[in-house]
Amino acid sequence: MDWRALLALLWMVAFAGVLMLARFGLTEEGLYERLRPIPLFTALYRGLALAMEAGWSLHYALGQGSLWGEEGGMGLAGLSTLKAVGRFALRGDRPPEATTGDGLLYFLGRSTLRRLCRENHVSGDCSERMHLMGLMPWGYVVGVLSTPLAERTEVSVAVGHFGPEIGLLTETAPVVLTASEDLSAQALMYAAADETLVGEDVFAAPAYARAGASHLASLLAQDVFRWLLVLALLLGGPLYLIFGGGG
Amino acid sequence: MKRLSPSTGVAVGVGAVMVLALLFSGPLFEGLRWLFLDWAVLVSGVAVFAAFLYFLQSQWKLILERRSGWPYRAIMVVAAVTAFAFTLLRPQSPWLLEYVLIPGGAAFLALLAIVVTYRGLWMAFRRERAWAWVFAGAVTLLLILDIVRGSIGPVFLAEAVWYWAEHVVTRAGVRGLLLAMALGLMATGLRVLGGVDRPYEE
Repeated sequence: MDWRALLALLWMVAFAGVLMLARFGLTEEGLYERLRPIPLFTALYRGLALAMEAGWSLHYALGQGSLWGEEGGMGLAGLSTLKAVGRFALRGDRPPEATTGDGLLYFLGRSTLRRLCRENHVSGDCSERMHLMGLMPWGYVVGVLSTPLAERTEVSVAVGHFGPEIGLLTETAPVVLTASEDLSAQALMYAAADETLVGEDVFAAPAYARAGASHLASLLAQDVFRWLLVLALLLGGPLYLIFGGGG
Repeated sequence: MKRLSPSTGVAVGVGAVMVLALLFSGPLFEGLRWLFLDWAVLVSGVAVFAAFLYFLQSQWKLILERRSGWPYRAIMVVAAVTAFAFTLLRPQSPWLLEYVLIPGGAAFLALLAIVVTYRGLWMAFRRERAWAWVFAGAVTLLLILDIVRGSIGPVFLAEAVWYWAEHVVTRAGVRGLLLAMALGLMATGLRVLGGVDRPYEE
């Protein structure tokens, strides 16, 4: 058996262990208190809640990525955040309008919206508020920009896989939050958006929106393992220089 | 404890087999891995087609009801059906790619460059944050260096700074971000594998 595979499996099992320990060893409040503070989220969700209570309409962009490869994780994170952010939108009795450029995400988004509305006792079929907008990256952005959806949008949240085309989304309405795992999109939005999430923080959005204890536990596990990674890098660098291929 | 539904059981089981197949080699795991991948490709294709039909149906309904922006929707439907029919009839033809998608994409990239430069400068002035200025300064410096390299050829200092920025600073930053994001991806994957995140369930 390949030692890299064994190492990956061990890493995954250890991660799952810490996640379970956090999930079942602490209450939701306890988990929330232990998270490192990201001021952006506190301000964001407070602002979002106020905007929704004032009756503003929310557009939630799930992006273009399919569930294949590393884009898939971001798609799933986008769906979790949709459910969490959707709760804020329902304070103003207006379920969010969501868009995607991927067939599978379209159906999963419909299910998520339907479940969101059912759990929050909203009448009507909320899945109708999920829209497919072009199956290519630019086509998706053009679809969002040109349809009447852009005119009636007052706040936008974009969490999912986006490439550089996300830069044009900021032209529709104030984009209060953007998160994409694509590094070019992150760099671009750092310059162009009001607030953007960088690095692993893109996966923190559901936890800070209180999407459930499991999200909080996984974020806590993420933080623990990030420090382990930092330690490994700090120790591994000099060790590699001394014993590896440094000379 | 809450009972898992059949769909969750299937999703968790298939996910677990795929993880094991990625980590361990062997004919059984390899066979299962390709079988599941084939099914996933098929399901994904059907989902795209079904989503396209939903899209046409919903747009058609809005056009008939003369909702706001219906002429635009009509153009969009005609364009979508034309592109679909053209691709079905001439699947090998590069016409759509060469004369529509690539020029369209290039035009949008040009537009994006202007939008982002304008927004970036505006944000740097508005935010009044040290990092915004560092960002703007780094972009300006790298642009100047690139212009120098492109117009008067390699200049020792410009080359050295460019190399350092690209191979040391940028790569280190990118690796750090990718490592951290891998943790996020793993956490997301484990939540799906554990049946905690179930976007497929209603």
